[in-house]
This record gives sequence, structure tokens and C-alpha cells, in this order.
Amino acid sequence: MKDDINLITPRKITKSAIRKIVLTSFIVFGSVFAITVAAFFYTFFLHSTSSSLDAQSKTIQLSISGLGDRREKTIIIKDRLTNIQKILNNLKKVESNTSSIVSEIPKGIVVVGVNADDQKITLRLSSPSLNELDLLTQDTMLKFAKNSKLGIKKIDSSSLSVAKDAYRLTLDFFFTSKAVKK
Amino acid sequence: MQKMLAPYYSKYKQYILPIVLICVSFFIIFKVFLPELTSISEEKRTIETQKMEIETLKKTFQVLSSQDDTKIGDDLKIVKLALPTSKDPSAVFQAMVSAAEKSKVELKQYSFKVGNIYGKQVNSPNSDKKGIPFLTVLIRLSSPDAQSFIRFASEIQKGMPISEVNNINIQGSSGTLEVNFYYKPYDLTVLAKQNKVIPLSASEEKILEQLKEWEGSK
Repeated sequence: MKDDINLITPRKITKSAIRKIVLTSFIVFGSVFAITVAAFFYTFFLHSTSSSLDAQSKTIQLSISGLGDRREKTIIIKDRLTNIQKILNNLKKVESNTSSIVSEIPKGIVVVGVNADDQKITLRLSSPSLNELDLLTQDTMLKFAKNSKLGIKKIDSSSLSVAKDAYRLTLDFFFTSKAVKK
Repeated sequence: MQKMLAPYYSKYKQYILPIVLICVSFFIIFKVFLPELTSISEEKRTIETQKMEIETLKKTFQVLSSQDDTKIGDDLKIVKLALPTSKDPSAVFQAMVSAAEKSKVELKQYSFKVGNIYGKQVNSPNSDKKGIPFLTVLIRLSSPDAQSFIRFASEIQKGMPISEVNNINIQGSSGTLEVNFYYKPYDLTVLAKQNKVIPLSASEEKILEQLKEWEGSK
């Protein structure tokens, strides 16, 4: 009995719910459609921006191609200088080490022979005075040992001999641990 | 079939439109909107790359238009003298003669060290750790003063082409030096690919000045 009286009410509730569902679906569809259209317009805008940048790039490239000769020469100069710098920064110190050592030999002592490479320098010295050679081994050698710029690892006096008119001294200067171990 | 579906249709017909709309919305989202988003982000990346390229091109154009053709010509001449594009025996000979004159030694003999005759080597023996090839020359000198051989070594390292003394052997009035003279062929692929041109750095200008000084003191 109670059910018969309430027969009309459920139909009203159902119609209202259906209206809400339809409205919601329209809103969802409309929003998705609108956002998608906006995305298409944005893409179109980005395409035109990209085309204009492309045109700008081509204009500048055309201007640069007019300076093609200068461009080539500048690139070559830069490339050469990079390589020259690499060479100069890594030069072997054979000449500089030999110069530094020989320049410290007192005037009374004659350099009669030199064998120099990047690992070892051998000096063959001659002097009529044994005192001069002695002073050399004491003072000058100490100076060499203290000079960290030269990078001498070891100094050896490999021979001392007497020739008819002079004393001969051979000194070895080692620059690498490899040369010292040999 | 129609009679079977009719009761379902009349019961659920009000739901058909919303379902269709929702399905179409999902279709638009997954088949249209999401691919469009991907395309937008790719396009943005392309635009960023183009903007960077334009900046680089503008700077290159600025550098090139501010340069002086005479200076570029002089600089190119100097760097080619310092690091020739191929083995240049005449330039090497000039360097030896000039160094011998300045150090007052007599140039007795010189010989070029060539590569191996037999077999192919993957790594050229005449190319050091710097990756730059060189021509090795054995130079025989004569002088009464041992110090002058060392002066010769110093002078030759200040000459053109750029060189490096490997070893010095002096015995009495005779001396032998082994010297590497550097050269480097052009790498045309690198030159062709390079779009960017930047001005010389301070250290590069300094090297250029030093090379000009060495060339001027000949």
C-alpha cells in the first residue's frame, strides 16, 4: 500500500539524475573539444614561429656566406694556433735543461762533450785545476739539486780521470725515475 | 531482433547520448589531444634549438664583420709558416741555416729520417702523443765552442717551422742534434662542419705575437 502511494516519486528522481548525466557529458565533451581546438591553434602558432626563425637563420647564413673567405681563414688560424699551443706546451726540455746546466759551469772549466735527451744529460768536463772541479761538485751541484724548476732526480759523478794536461770529469744528471733505475 | 532490443531501447534511450559523448571525448583525448601535446613539445624543442643557432650565427657574423682582411692575411701567413700543412724540407733547411748563422756554428750535414719501408703501420712512428705529425732531421754541426751547439738548439726551437730538440750529442768540436719539425695537414671535414667562429683568445694572441717576434728576428 505504501509502495503504491510512492509510485510517482522515484520517476522524478531518475529524470533529474539523467538530466545531470546528460549535462555533465555535454560539459566534458565541450571542454575536451575546446582544449583540443586550442591545442591545434597553439601548434599552428608554433609552426609559424619556427618558419620565421628558419627564415631568419637563412638570412644570417646568406650574410655569412658573403664573408666565406674570412670565415675559412679565421677557422684555419684558430685551428693552427690550437695545435701550435699544444706543441709549445709539451715541448721536451732537452735544450732548456742543457742550457740551464751548461750556463752554471764556471769559465775555468771547459765543456768537452754533452749527451742530452729528455731523460738524462751527461756532461764531460775538463779543467787543468782539480780544485775547480772540486768546487763544481760541491757548490754548483748543490745549486742544481736545490733548483726544483730543473726537475733533476739525481746527479752522479760517473768518472774522474787525468789526461796529459787536464783533469776530466763526467757528470750525469737524471731527470726521470726511469733513467735513475737503469 | 528489433522486437528483442525494443524494450531495452525504450528503457535506456536517455543514456545513449551521454555515453556517446563520453566515448567521443575519450577518443579525442587519446587519439587527437595527447599526440598533439607531443607534437607541441617537439616543436618547442625545435624552436629552442633554432634560437640558439641564430644566436651563434649572429655572433659569428659579428666576429667576421669586425675583422680586418690584412690582419687575417698576416696571421694566416705566420701560422702556416709555424705549422706547415705538409713536410717542407726547404723551410726546414732555411731554419737550420738561420740558426747556424745566429749561433756561429758550421752546418756540416743533415739527413731526414723517413718512415719504415716495409709493412704498414697503424700508428705512424712520426706522430707523437700530441697527435701532430713531424719530420725528424739529424743535423751535424761543427764549432770550436761546445756552448754554441746549445745556442743552435735554442735558436732552432725559436724558428719556423715549430721544432723540438730530441737529443744533443757533442764531442769536442763536432755536434749532432736530432730535431723534430712539426707539420699538420688541413682536416677539411672539421673545417666544413664548423659553423661557429669565435675571436682569438688572449693566449692565442700571445702565441701569435711570439711567432711574429721569432719570424721578425730572422
